[in-house]
Amino acid sequence: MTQVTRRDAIKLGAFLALSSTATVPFVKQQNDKTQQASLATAEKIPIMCGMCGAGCGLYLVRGEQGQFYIEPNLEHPQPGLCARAAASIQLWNHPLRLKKPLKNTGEKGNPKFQEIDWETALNEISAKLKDIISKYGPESVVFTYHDFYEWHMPLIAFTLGTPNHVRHASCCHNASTYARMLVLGAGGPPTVDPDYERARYIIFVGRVLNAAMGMVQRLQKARESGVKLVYVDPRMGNAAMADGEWVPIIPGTDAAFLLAMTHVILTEKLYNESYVKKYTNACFLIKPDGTPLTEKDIGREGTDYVVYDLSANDFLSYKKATNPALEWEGEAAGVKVRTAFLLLKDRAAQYPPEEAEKICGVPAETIRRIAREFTYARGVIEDGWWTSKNANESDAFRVALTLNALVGSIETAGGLYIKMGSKMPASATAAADKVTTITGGTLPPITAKRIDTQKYPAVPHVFDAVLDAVLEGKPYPVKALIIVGTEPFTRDVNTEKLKQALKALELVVVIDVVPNDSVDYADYVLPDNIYLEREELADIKWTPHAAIQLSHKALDPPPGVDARNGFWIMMEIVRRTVPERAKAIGYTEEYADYHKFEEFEQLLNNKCIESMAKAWNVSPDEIKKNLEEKGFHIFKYWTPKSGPSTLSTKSGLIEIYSLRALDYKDDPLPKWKPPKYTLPKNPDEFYLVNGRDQYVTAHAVWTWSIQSLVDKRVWMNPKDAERLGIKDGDLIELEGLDNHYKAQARVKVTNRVREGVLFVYNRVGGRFSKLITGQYEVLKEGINVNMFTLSWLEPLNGSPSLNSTVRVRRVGA
Amino acid sequence: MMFQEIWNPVVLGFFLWFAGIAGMGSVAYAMMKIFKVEEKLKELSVIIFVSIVLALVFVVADLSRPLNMPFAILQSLLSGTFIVKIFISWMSFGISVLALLLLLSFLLLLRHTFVPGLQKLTDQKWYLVLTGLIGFLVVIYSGFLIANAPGIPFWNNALIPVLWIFSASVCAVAILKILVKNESITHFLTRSGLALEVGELVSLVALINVSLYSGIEAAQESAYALFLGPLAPAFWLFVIIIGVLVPMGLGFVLLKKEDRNLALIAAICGLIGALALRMLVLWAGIPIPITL
Amino acid sequence: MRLAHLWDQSKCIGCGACIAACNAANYKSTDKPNPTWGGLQTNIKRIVFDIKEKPYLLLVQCQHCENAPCVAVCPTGASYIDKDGLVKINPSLCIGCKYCMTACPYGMRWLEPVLGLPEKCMGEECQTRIKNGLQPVCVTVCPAGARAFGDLDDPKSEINKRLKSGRVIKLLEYKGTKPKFFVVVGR
Repeated sequence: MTQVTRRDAIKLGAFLALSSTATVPFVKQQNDKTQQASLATAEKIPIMCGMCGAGCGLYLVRGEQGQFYIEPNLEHPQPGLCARAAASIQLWNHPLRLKKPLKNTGEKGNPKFQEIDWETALNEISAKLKDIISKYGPESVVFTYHDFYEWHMPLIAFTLGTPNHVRHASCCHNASTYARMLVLGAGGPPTVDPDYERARYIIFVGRVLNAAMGMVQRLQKARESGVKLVYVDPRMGNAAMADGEWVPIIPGTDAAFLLAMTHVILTEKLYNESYVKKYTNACFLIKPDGTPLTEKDIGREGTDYVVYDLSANDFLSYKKATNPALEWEGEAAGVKVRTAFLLLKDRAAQYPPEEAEKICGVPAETIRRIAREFTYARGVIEDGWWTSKNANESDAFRVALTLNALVGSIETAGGLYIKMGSKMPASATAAADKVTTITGGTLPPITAKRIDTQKYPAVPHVFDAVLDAVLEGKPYPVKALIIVGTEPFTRDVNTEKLKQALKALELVVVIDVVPNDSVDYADYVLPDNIYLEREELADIKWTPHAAIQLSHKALDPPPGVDARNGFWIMMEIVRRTVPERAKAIGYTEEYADYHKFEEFEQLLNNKCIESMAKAWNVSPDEIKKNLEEKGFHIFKYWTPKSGPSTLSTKSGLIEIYSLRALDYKDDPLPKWKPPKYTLPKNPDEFYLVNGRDQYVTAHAVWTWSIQSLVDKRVWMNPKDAERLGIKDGDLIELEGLDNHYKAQARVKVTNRVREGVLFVYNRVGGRFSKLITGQYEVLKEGINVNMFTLSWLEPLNGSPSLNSTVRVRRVGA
Repeated sequence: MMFQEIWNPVVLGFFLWFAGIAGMGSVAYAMMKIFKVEEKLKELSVIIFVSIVLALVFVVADLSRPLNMPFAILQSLLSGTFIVKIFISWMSFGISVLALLLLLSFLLLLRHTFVPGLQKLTDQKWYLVLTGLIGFLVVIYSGFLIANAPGIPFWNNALIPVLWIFSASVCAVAILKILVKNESITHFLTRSGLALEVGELVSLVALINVSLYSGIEAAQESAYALFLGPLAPAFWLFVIIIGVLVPMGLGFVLLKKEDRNLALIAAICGLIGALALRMLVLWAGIPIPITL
Repeated sequence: MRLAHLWDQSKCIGCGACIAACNAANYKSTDKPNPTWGGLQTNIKRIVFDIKEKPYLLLVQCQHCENAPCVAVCPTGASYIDKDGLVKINPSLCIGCKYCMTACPYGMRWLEPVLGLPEKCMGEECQTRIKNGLQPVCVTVCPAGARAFGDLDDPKSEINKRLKSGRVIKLLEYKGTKPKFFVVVGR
C-alpha cells in the first residue's frame, strides 16, 4: 500500500465523497421524504406520560419523516423521561393491541374469543349487571384499577351505587402510606418525598430511581454538589451502578437496619435536639397503658397533651411549653409517665448494630458509619413508594420517617417535603347522607360499606379482601368484577386464589389496551385508549409544588383499532345499567355518541378548573391558557422551611410515637417483625425477590423496546451459583417453599444480587394469555414471581408480601 | 464464544476458494505459457473463467444491497472517489482486480474456444505477465482485506495473506496435477506442491500458536475454538489432515514414484482443505468485546 | 468543527430512555428485531458488567472516530466523515459489502433489514435535529444529565465544559481510531 496515512487518505476520500453529490438519475432504494415543517417550528403537544403512574411531563413531537416520538417537557415541574415513555408509540401501534370488543365464548382460563360490536358488548354487560344488582345489590359489583381513571372512579362507582372501587394500592404502597399516615398524617406516596435538589445525603430503602424521572432531573443539581446516594436493597438496581453505595441487605429486614441506625443516633446523641423538641411529639408523657398524658388526666382544664416543661418545672400543655423535656420520667397525678423519646430509646436499644447485623446481614460497622454520615450531612431517608415486599414494611418506613425527624429532615431543605395539594376536587363524594358529584348531581347515600376497609381499616384498596368476599360471600357477596387498566396476575398475591375467584365471579369485564393475562379469565374484553388518545386533567404528582397538568389528546388509535376512552366505556355501562341514577348526575343518553362524550369531559374539566380557580383565587382563563399552551399550571411553590407547620396527625406534630396507631390497637412505636413466609434454611433455598427498574409496568413490558432492555432471567449471586454448580444461562426449576408452585427460568449470574437471594423483574415474564403470539411470545419466558406467593398480608393496611422463598434445582444448560 | 455473523463463512468461503483457484490458476497459466508448456491450456482457461464467474456470484450473494451495487460503483467512479479508494481500501482494490481478471480470463477463454484470433493478444508476454500478476493479486488481496478489519482481532495478523497464497497455490498445483500428464511437469508439480504444503502447515501452526499465546483475548478465543473448541473437529479433519497432512504424505510417496490415482486423491484433498480453511477462518472470527 | 458525544457513567441511571428514544426518532419505533445485535433497532448498545466487584454499565454507540476504520475500508466512499466531524453514510454509494461492519472495533454498525444499510449513530432524525440547532435525541431525553454533545473546536461548548470537570476516558484507544466518544468515570 502507499505511504499515505489512513487519516490523510480519509480526508482525501471524504473530500471526494462530498463532491460526489452529483445526482445520477437512478432508482434510489429509499423512502420518499414527506414534506414536513422544519423541526424548529414543528408542533409539540404537551402530554402527561401514562406508561407508569408517575405522570411525567412530556411533549409528543413529529420528526422529519412524519414519525412521532417523545421529548421531555423541561419547563414542567416534573419532567420525564425514561425508556417507558420513549417506547409509547410502540404501545400505540402494537400488533397485539386489543382492537375490538371481545366476548369469551369458551371457558375462563381456556378462552375462545369472538369479536362483537360496541353496542352489543355494552348492552350485554349492562343486562348482566342489572341482573346481578337486582339479586345482590350494587355493592356486589367491584371496580379494580391502577392509575388510569383513578380520578373518575368515584363518579363511576358511586353512580352505579357501589362503594367498592378498589385500586392496586395494597400491592403497591399501603405499607408506606400507613407509615406516612401514622407519623406525618400524610397520604399516599406523592404526598411526601425528598427535596432532591438540595439533598446532601439520600438513603433509598428498596428504591431504585425507577420513577418519577422528574426526581432524577431535580437530583442533577444535588449531584453537581456531591450528594451521596445510598441504596439499601437486596439487589443492585440500575441507578446503583452509577456513583453511590449499595448496601446489600437480607430481604424483609429493613426495619432492623433502620432501628439500628436509630440506636446509634440516639446513643451517640447525634439527633437534632431543638428540632425534635419543637416539631415532634417526642416530649409527650406516656402512661403505662401506652396512651399519652392529657391535661384532663392531671386534673386541669382542657384536653391537650401534656409535656414536662424544664423552665416552668411543671406539666404544661404541649402547645404552651417553651422548654419541654426530652428525656424525663416521673409521676403525674399518681401515674408513672415517661417521655415518648425514652420509649423510643428503649425500643431502639433492642437493635444495637451487632444484633441488627445478625438479622439483616449488614455489618455493624457499616450501619454505624451510615448512621453517622446521615446525621453529619443532615440527610434524608426516602419515605417509600412501592413497599409490598415482605409484609412487614410499614414498620420499616415508620422508622425511616422517625429518623428523618430525628435529624431535622422534614419540611427542611434537603429533607422530606410535604406536598402542597392542588385542591383538585373529587369526581364524586359519598357522604353519610348523600352522594354528590362534580357535575352538581346528588344521589341517595350508599349504605353498604367498602369491603376492604372492613377487614383492613387503616388504609383502603386491599384487593385480597375482595377475593375473599368473592369466595366466602363475606361481608357480602361479590358477583361482578370490572378490571380497568390493571393486571391482577402480575399485581396481586396468591395467584391460585385469584384464579378461583375469577372463575367464581358471574361477570368479569376487562378494559385494557393489550391482552394482559386476565383477559383469559374474562367474559368480556373491551379495548381501551392509551394516554396519547385521550385528554386528561390531573394533579401533578412527584413535585412539591401545587400544580395541575393537562395531557392533550395527541393521536387517534391506529386504523383498525376500535379502542375507546375507558371513561366513556364505564359511564355507558353505568348508564345502561342504572339509567335513572346516571340521569340524576347529568349523564344522559346523548353521551352514547362517542364524540358528544367529549363535551361531558369538557364539562367535568371546567368544573374542576372553576373549583380550583376559586380555591386559589386565580382566573379560570389563566389556568386554561397555561394548560393549553404549556400543559401545566402551578398554583403555589413549595419552599424549604425550618420545620413543618401543623400536620394532620392527632397532635399536629410529627408523631414519632404514633397516637393514630393506638386507635388501631397497633404498636405506637415501630419494631422489626420477621416475614410470614417460610425462611430459607437449606443450601438450595433462596429468597425470591422481585422489583423494578425504569422499564417495568404492566403495559410498558409489552413494547419491543422494553423487552429488549429488560433481563428476564433469574439473578443469582456467583457464590451461590458456584455452590450449586449452576452456570450463567443455565435452566433452573424454582419451587415455592410455601405453595409448592413450580416454574422454570434461565439464570443470570451476577454480583448485582446478594448471596442467598434470587431476583426477578416484576411483570415482565411468565405471561400465559392465549392472545400472545408471534415475536411477543417472549413474554411467556421467565417467571411470574407473584405465582410463588400466598396471602401474606399485614394487618390493618393489607400490604402483602410479593417476595417469597423457593427451592432451586438445576435442570439443564 | 460469539462468532462474527457479519460475513457468511460458507458463502464467502466459496467466494475466496473460487477466487483463489482463478487467481493462482492464472499464475499457472501464465507460467506454463511462458515456459512453452502447451498442455491442457484450454481446460485451464475454462476453469479459470468459470471460477472467477462463480467467485463473483458468491461474493455478490453476500452483499446486503446488491441491486444498488452497479449504480454505487458507477457514481463512485465518476466522482473519482473510487480511484482514490483503490489505494486505501483493499475492498476497492479487490473489486478492481476481480473485474480485471474477469476481462482477462474471458479473453483467454475466447482465444481457446470461439475466437482463436485473439491469440495475437493473449499470447503476448506482457498479457501473460499481466494476467499472472492480476491473478496473484486476486488471491492475496482478500487476505489483506480480512487482515485489515480491526473489528476481528484473530484476523489482524500478517499470516492471513501469506496463508492465502500458500493455500491457493496448493489449489493451483492440484488442478494442474489433475489436468497435466507431462512427466517432468508432474514431477515439478509434486515437488513444488510438497514445498507449498510445508509452508502452509508452518503458517497454520504459527497462526494458531501466536494467536493463542500473544493475541488479545478475542484472538485467543478464536484460535482456541479452532484448536480445541467447537470448530476443532472441522479444523483438524478438513484443514490439517485432509488439507495438508494427507497431500503431504502422498506427496512424499509420489516423490519416489508418480501415481496418477494417488496424485488425484492428493489434489482433491488439497482443494477440500483450501475451501475449509477459508470458511473456518471466517467462521472463527470473534469481535472485540468492549470494556472500559 | 468536530462534533462529539459525551456519556457520564457516574451519573447514568440506566433508564434506557436514550436507547428507546433513538429507536422512536430514527427508526420510527419499529418493533422489527435488530438482525445484527438482536433485540431493538437502535444505535446505542447497553452492556452490563455483572461480575465486577462493583457491577457497572456501559452505553456504547458510534464513536465518530477521527481515524475511522469504517471510512478507510469503504470501497465506494459511502462511509465518510462530514464537515461537522460526524461519520455518516451515503446510502446511494453503499453496496452492502459490510466491510465497515467488520472494520469497526466497537461493533457499532448493524444491518438494517429493509434497505440493507449498515446503520449507526447518527440516525437521520438526529442529523436533522442537529442541523436545526437541536440536540440529538439521546441527549435531549436523558433525565440524569448524563449526556452532552457539541463541538470540540468550540471552547464554550457544553461538551468542552464537561470534559474539563470530570475524569474522562475513551474506549479502545489502543486501536488508533481516535474516537470522539468520551466516557466520564468520575469527578
